[in-house]
Amino acid sequence: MSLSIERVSNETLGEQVVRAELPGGLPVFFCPKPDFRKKYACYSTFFGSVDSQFIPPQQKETIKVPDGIAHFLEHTLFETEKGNVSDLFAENGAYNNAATSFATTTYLFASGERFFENLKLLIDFVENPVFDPEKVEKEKGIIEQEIKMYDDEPDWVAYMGMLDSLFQEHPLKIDILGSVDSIQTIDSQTLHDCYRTFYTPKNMALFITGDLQEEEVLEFVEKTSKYGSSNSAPHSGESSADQGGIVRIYPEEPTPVARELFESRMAVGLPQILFGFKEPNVPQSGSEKLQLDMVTKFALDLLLGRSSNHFLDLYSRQLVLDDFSVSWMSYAGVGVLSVGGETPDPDGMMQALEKIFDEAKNFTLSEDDFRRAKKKYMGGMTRAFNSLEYIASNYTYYRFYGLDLFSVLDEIQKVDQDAVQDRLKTLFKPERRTVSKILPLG
Amino acid sequence: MDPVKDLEFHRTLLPGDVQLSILPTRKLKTVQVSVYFGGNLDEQFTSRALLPQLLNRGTQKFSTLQAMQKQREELYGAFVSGGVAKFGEWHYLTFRLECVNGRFLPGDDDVFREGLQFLRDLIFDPCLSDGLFREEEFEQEKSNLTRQIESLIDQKDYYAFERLVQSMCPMEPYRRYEHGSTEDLESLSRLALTQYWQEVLTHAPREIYLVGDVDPQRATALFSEIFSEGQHAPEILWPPPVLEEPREFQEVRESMDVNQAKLCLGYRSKSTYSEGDLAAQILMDGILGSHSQSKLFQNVREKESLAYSVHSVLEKTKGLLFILAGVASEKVPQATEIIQKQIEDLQNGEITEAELTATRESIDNQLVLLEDNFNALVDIDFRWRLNGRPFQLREYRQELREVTRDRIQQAARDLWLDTVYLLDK
Repeated sequence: MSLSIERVSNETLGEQVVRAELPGGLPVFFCPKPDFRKKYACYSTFFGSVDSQFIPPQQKETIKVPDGIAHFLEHTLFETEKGNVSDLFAENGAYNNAATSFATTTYLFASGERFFENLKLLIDFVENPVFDPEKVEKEKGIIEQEIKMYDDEPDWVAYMGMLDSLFQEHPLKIDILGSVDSIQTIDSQTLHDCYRTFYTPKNMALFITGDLQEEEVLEFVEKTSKYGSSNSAPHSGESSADQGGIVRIYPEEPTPVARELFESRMAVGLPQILFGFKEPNVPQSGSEKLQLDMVTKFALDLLLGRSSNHFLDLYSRQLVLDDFSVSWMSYAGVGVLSVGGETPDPDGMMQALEKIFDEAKNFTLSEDDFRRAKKKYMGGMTRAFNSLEYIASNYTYYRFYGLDLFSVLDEIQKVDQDAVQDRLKTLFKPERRTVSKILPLG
Repeated sequence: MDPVKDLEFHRTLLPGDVQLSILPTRKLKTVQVSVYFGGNLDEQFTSRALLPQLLNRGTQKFSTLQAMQKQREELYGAFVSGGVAKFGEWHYLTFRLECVNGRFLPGDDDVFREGLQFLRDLIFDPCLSDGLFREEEFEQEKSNLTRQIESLIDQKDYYAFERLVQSMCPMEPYRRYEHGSTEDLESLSRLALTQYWQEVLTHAPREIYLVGDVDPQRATALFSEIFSEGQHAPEILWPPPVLEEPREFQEVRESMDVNQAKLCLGYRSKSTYSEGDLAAQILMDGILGSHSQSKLFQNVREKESLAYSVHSVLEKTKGLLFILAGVASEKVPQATEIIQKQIEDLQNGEITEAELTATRESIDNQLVLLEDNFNALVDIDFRWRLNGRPFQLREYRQELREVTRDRIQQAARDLWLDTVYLLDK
């Protein structure tokens, strides 16, 4: 049976992506990259640390899972009946890895040769998990060391401290890795509950890119994936519109922050200050989310980016250093804006930034700055298309939010200066602010 | 089928006998230029580390950080910047430009020319005051670099590694940290740094690389026009380091308030780019600890759950091998024992077929993928040339494929444990 195919292309970039849906409901994407020696594939599920409460498809009861379970499940999938899957990839010479974020879990490999053997491995291990209680217990020791490694990284401690202080209820406060205590409560059953809820074809995507032939790729995937036939998806049910009928539950987030200050003393050379602002009730998906994300990024860049007067002032007064950064992200209906970095003078930096936040509503954008910012974003997006990994992971990411990566370039063009100007008026509300401080010992 | 043409650098000499190596490729949406100024990891290492920071502060035309940044944005967010890198006992300056190829921008195809001019100005035409680097910028970058050196401690893995190197090589230039020393910075003057910059321009051996979808002839003409800085008399760099004789084993322990101990083992070997059997050394390192099938990962992490990260790294100019692990404090003795057992097993020739195959395949795959990684290709080409050997990717792949078990075992037998460094609470 031949699959129905949809093509999306961007002529300026000279790139195209083919989309096909397997009979069992799994979306498969292919981006041809002639001349490249690297071939790359990633199999992703729209399941991350924010999915801590949910109702599985065709069930009624809400499940609340232990913190860190999406990441734990990622580790668990590596253990197959034929051994650790990294060993199997290694035998084929492929590089493989996986990553869990706030919203997604991705399994990937890159190889120069024997691509289809590796693709089969990827599909097989993601689609056929083994929940061996003994191995689950053993994995706890490894993840515990992973958690402790991050506990010694000031950037991570500052960032997670900031999120934990911003939110009272929302699961964005949860550390992606969980805690040494929370992972102890994870067992085969809870892992299995998560797997059967989120690792369903409509909640996943397979992306393949490299110097390959479209027909061969799609045929191989159809033959290899268990979603290649239509009776293979017990959970897809009748509700095909959403991500397989999963009900994700995100508690109502009150406006006040959980804590106005997070402070930790660590063995570091310099103090670090990270401001966070939360924004409850932002669009969860679609072009509304994309426009808000972009307008916000432009606003932050124009206010505090490397070519802004504010940055110049902060930097020349030595209140901020080269690692100073400003970022925005939005997941599961809430947004987080963060501003900060290392500083020799934490109080001076805080005062200066607080003043900038307070006065941001009166900040006037210049047309010339706005024009250059657009150029920079255009160039950045174009450059990113050098990377197969970027194309695969971002294409998948945008798809999960009902968007197309190629349209992002057009959306950048559409960003309106007045919208950016307006955004600055509401961005820095004091009651939604927290500050995370890392100070040297002693 | 190997696309041979893809990997041949077109090499020409620019005025002043500067070599320009061009690698045309259709794979990139950008054009990438790297300008190298070779140097030794000598007493000037701190000046060399500080110099690019000053040059990044402004050209005559774009004299402030803000003006520089605005120009980058004008060039569609081009990357234009200088830095420094340590390679064995060499220490070189790199200046890089990456900008979008005008073909992918409607109506704006002069980005490359302007980007190149910007890069040239950054190196040769900094904003000076009375012939010296400006005082305010100088003081700021000095303190920025001081802080950067001091905040090495924030990244415990890197900190532990640097401390291992210092303990292991106290008399060798290799002990020096690539970003300089705080003591040297304190006494460094504007005049001395400005003079050092002039010295670099006249005496540092230099190489230029260009990668992208470009026409080599037109690009060469453009470089001749923009990068024509006339004659210079390059100094000769140090020859590759001489192998150190094995000496008494030492243990170094440092206390710090950490959640996880960092355990680092430093070995000396008999193989470098220019001596011994480097190919066998690379295979041995692979089986030991450079990928997920390797002995360290399997035995320290997977079997015993002692660590999340554990791996080995080779230093190929001096013949060093490092093993780096993050482990729980109470498990340090057990981890040390298991790590050393892996070396002993290699020395006794205990290598399974699976270990050998996985390592061969993994190395071969990395080399295939290298063909798409242009920054790495350029850097490798430059580094091999420093060692006096041309880098031929396909020959190198073949050479690694032919390494036998006996040679791997011999490479392991040539290892000598020099220093164990532990960072722990």
